[in-house]
Amino acid sequence: MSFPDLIPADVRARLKDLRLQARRISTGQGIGQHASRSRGAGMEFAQYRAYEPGDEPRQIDWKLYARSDKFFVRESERDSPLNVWILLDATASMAQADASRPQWSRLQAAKSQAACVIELALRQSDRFGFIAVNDQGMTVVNAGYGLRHRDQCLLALNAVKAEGAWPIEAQCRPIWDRISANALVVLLSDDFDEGALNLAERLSAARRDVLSIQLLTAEERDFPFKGGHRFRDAESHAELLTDGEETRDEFIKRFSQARKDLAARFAASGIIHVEYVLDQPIDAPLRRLFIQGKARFQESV
Amino acid sequence: MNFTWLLPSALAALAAIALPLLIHLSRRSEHKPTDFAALRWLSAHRRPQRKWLLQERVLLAIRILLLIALAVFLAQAVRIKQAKPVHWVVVIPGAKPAGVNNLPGGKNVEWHWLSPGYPLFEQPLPSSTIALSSLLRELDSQLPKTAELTILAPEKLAGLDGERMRISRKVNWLITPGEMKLPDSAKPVKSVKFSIRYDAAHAKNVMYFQAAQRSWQSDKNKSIAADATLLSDVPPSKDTVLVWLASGKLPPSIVQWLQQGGTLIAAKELTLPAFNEAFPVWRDAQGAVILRESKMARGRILQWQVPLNPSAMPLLLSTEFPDHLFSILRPKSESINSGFALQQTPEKSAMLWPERPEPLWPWLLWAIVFLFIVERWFSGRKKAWAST
Repeated sequence: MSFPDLIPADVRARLKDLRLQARRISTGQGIGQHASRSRGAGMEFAQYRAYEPGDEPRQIDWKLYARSDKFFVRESERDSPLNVWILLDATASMAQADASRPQWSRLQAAKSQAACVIELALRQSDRFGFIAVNDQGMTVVNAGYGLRHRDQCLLALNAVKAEGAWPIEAQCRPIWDRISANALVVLLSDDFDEGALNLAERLSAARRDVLSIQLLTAEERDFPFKGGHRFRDAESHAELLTDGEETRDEFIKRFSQARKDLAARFAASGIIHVEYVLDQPIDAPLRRLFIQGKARFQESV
Repeated sequence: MNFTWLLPSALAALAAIALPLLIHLSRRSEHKPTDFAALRWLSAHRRPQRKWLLQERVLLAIRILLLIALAVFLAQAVRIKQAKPVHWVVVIPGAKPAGVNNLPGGKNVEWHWLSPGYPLFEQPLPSSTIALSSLLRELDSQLPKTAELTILAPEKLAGLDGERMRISRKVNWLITPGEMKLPDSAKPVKSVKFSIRYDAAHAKNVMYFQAAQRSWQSDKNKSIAADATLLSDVPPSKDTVLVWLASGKLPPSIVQWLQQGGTLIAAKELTLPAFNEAFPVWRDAQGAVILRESKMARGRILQWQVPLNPSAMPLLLSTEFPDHLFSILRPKSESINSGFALQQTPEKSAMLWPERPEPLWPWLLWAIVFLFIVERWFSGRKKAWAST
């Protein structure tokens, strides 16, 4: 690969413990590791059904035939692969970084996390694809399997630039076209755009398993500004002249309230929501989302 | 150690500190443009306060220090030393310290000659001087108040003033056998030698000067006559008085000799340049000027105002002529007052000399130069700041 590895070595090592897990039953085709609605040969018993012409004779439960003199076909649950979609917010606000670490922008962190999710999906032989969303033209990589597809995704991921604003409703058609029901959707965004929030809610309401990672800069959490600053919003180009120390307390109060409100709103919509601040290790939100067993349900409560 | 100012009003220069303060003081009104997506939650009501800000504080401190050093330099800061207790033993030339009882001892004792500059006693006496009272007063004013003073005096002293010696401190006055040696310049001059140059018209006048010189000599040297020759350009030796009995002008070599400190007695007919300062040194009984003196550089020119013959100047034949001429020509010697050390014990005067302060300007000058270099270097380094 000619571009730098998006996943640091230590993070890659820690990914071993994580596993993508859908809450909904998968509808994907093929053989995978997730519970699915498709029935067939498998380990787990699902149901008996009446014999239909065309069924293989070896699928008939002969012991039951001996008892009931009827042909029954024994069906098992079949494990199916999961469709994993990464929705990457690529609006201009994602280019924001902390002054102490100007290279480490929200977008960069989101790309790394997307790469991690792709790596997890690849390991579980799930199907994965990603969509980078902004109004300058979306980058879409359709869901697919395998190493080649992974490289294709990473290549496209690297080319994504943060520009423009969140697209209007009509421009979001490709998202609805591609992300099928029961797919796992990971939304990587700063969640400052109402459009993104609406999309997440509607995806969740339409039986998509939506996970949201909100990426915040450390400056937004701590507001360490001193003296006069001309704050500028990269998307709306609005400017605000204010004094750092004067507004700090009020900003932190209002912003943490907004974060709480967002978490409550997503929870009401059945979206699992975690926050990630740029000075944390990049796999921290992934660990909270994809940790195995009971711990996951404790997280989501 | 005490500091004081010789020119305290120059401390007003400290007001100049306001200048770098003004230069470095800037109103921070600029606002850093900052990307901030969470603008929605930022309250817009608070305008940023404008703040006064001192930029480049290190450079400012250096500049203020430089100005303070300059002001202190202008105010002529001096330091009054708290001197160590010292005991000076001053030896008047001629005194012999060997065999004197009650000599002070100890670490603080310093031995010096009573001579200009007060050289150490171990060093040879540079030159004998006799301005005894004056040197003693100078020493008294220079020594710190606490210093003790012991003076070793020979029995016979010279170079005293008309007044009794008075010193602001108590003096241990020790008398040793010996006598102050008088320098050559202080010895009385016995005679003057003439070098006479004459032309034919003045040949007759030569005898008066030869007679005068003969009259000053002691009996043994009576045979030595004055060196009398016809006019020549060769200047005579330094220790003689040139008698120029001729008309016309002086040759340049003689003028040069004269300017280097010679003495010339000229006949009335000699043409001399006009002098600003010419004053009579000899008048006859009627009050008419006979001899007039003027200066040429370091030289001394005496010109007769009357022709040198007995008819015009009867004095030539009287015994008064050589005596008066000698009193005019005799080199001025320092007046010598001598006395016995026993009677010259210095008295204690009520006058107190002010403490001699040590000037600080050499240190301040170095400090200023150093600070200036540092300031230039520092401000040159801060090019980015210079543009704002």
